[in-house]
Amino acid sequence: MIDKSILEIQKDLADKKYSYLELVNQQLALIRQSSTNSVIHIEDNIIEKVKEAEKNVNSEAFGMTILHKDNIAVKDQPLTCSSKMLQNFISPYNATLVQKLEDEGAICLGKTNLDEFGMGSSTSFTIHNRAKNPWDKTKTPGGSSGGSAAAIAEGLASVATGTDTGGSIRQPASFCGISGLKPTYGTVSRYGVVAYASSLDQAGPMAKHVSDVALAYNIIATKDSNDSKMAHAKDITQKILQDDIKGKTIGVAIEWIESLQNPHLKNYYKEAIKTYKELGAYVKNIQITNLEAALPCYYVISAAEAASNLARFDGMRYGYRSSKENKDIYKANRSESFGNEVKRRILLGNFVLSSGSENKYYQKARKVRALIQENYLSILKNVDAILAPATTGTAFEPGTQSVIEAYENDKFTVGVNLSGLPSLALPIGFDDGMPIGMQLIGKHMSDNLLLNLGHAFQKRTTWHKVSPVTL
Amino acid sequence: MKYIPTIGLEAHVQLNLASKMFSSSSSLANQPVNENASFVDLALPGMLPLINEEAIIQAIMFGKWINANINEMLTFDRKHYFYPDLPKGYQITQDVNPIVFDGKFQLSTKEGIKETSIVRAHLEEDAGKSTHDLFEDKTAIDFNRAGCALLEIVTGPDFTNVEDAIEFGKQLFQTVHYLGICAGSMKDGAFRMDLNVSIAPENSDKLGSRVEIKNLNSFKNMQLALKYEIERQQKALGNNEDIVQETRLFDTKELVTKSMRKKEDAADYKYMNEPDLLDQKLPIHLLDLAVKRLPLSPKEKIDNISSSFTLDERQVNLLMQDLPLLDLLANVIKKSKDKKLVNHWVFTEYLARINKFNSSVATAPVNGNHLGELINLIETDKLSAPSAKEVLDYMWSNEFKRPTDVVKLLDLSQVTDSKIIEGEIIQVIKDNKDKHTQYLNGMNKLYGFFVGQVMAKFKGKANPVVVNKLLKDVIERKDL
Repeated sequence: MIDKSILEIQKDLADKKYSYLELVNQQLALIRQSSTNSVIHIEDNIIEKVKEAEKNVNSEAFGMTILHKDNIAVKDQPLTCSSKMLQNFISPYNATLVQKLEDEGAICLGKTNLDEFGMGSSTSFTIHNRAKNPWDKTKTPGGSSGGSAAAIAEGLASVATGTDTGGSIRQPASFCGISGLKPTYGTVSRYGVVAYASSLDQAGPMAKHVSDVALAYNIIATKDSNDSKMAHAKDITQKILQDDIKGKTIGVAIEWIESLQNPHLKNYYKEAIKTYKELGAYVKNIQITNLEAALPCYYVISAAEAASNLARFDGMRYGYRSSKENKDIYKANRSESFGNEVKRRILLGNFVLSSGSENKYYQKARKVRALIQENYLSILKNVDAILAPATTGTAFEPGTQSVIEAYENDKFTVGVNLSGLPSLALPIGFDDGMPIGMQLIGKHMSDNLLLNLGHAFQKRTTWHKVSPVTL
Repeated sequence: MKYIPTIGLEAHVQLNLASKMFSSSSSLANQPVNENASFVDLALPGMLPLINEEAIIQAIMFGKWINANINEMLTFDRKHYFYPDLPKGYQITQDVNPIVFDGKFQLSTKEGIKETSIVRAHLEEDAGKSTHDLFEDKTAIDFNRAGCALLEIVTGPDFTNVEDAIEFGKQLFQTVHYLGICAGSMKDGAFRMDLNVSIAPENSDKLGSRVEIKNLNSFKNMQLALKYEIERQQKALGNNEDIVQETRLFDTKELVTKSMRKKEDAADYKYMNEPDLLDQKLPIHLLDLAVKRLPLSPKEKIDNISSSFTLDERQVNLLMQDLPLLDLLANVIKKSKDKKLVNHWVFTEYLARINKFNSSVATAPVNGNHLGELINLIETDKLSAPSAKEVLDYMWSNEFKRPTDVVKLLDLSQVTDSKIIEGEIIQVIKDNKDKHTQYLNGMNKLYGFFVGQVMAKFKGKANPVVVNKLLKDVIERKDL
């Protein structure tokens, strides 16, 4: 059952092949057996929730088992963000996207591992045990949504949510051989999603099947008055996924593909391009300039916003409280509970915002950001989507990269966040037993076009149906 | 050497709103501790701010009133510092695009109108309230105020004497009340002032080092602080000491200013664009709403009142200087048309109480609606004048009670029913047959005796006009 799409599961449930509760119990059994540290908490009161969901068998997400990244608030459940700071924090409310999925009959099974507050690309900067890649447990599942990606690859749930600030959905999806959408900025409510860098953060669904990603996306991409930056009142949801993509134009980021170190990977990209030609799409090469500018621009802006967003974690009203008292309490609460990567970005962020430096770094980065977005938009005037690698290679062993090398991993993904664009990652092959992923980048609000392109691809290929042998 | 002070002011005005600047929790003052602290106000993880549009409207009203520019862009910034009563670790404010800038405030002084420049006025959120002396070894924090909307109004360094600066503070306070964009008092912290003071030798073209005095919450303290600080700086320069640029606090017990922090210790606020809110063009419908809601100018209001009400020159001047009084009068005449009564009760009875309690119309416990209702009760013979005084006194010591309720409470309503009054008159005459006979025999001065007896029957609450009218007839009857 773990390879079935939700539509197939819904049909099974309607035919009474098994009940929703049986499905949920089987998934919970798999979660308990898993040894990848991808799920860090199993939700309480699941049976009552299934009973509640069964009252409306026609709701859109009926039969959808889901795991939420642990920086997304689920009422009465832990919200650790993989940080000692929030180790004992229980959320008193649901994130909007959690509520919307629950309202449509999805059952939350638990919370998934991540890099602390979403900062990292290996799910090893965590107070929980580091998450492992189910294809090879010595390797990372990627990050920061590595727990969600690994859990989906193992078949622990139909859908998992992730958050993507600079590639945190697409890179782990690629490393684990699954699909994941970083939505257009402003189409999914950020209410209840713990902020890392507010102008870049976007939550999105991850699943084996693009059709399941689409199902979840179209539930969560609806208006929410609690997030004032949601795209103005435009409903872009699409009820039925299309697989006819004839006449669509795909621009290939050929230089990015050519720049890959591993020659085997290039062949898989060429295969993917060929598949799109067979599906009737026009394909042409395009050039994405200012790639070099994207990384520093991203790290200045994301660090600045992170330093600011994490200022609320002072241990005064909630969160970690040091045994030290009086004047040193702020310093102690924060120093003793934040991990090194988080501290590094807080320091960097404070530096680029500090008086005398802000024009050189933060303000300049904001200008560069506008140029990067302009460049993407001008390319996207002539193509419906850009096809590009999501990562510079397949999954690596954690601890083998320097800080700078680790930041370099994000070079193909951050431009999308800086520009607020949607991007869908999906598997296109394997190298040495490890999955390879590509990303499709679209215009603002073209999320459903990307999903159609991905769905059409998966009707022709079976990469998304291959599962690791983990148990 | 003669030194000239240069003074600039900053006012923090708490806007007149039902909810906070960026959250839906109530902004009511004097609530139980931490009653109005929502998840947003407490900065729980995952919370987002939402703009209170009414705050935008009120800020624009102020801007339009002082002929300022209204910013075409609506953006917010974060100002960072760590303090336990600042839950997010930053305050949302407007650094880059203040909603109001470059305005002129017409300050009336003894020497005539002086134009004061308003450099900017921007929206921001208030912090919570820390109390350090409630517990021996802990600080208590009430987050009810955290997130309440403030309009920070900044003047140019335009004042060269203390009197003008104080007068500006008073007139600004009146203006925001007149506009209806502030409803609180200085005592409650709804209107707080910071002072920037420097001194320089007369005819010098350079200004001295600037000292900021924070958080003055009365005009009296503001005056004392300014006087003290100017003298302190003069003394220092006289002794060849340097004035250091710093922030000072006014000690309300010792009546001196004390250094709080030097310039080099000032926090680096690391301003940053607020990424949780949309950078947007100012929504035009908010501008329209603000303009529609602007009240008439004081001059126009006085002209309107004068069309149905005679005001002498003294009264016009008084109204121009005391805008809340003008508002009060405008509200009173909506309820009562009797010019003589209104004149007496507003300009005599009401102002007498203002003077007696050394308060101001803006903060008085009786407002125009209630005073108007009270006058209306007299006008419609429901209340006698002496009883009305009693009611007004009661209202003065019991805030915002309606006169009709007070009348009931004190059992003061006037008897005007002629049947009842006539019945009592007849009874009084029957009870005093001998005196009545003397009256009928020409002892006219006994008339007063009968009035007194009748009034006593009603414990002073009978309408004296009706009593008089009826008594005159009844007393002549020989059949009684």
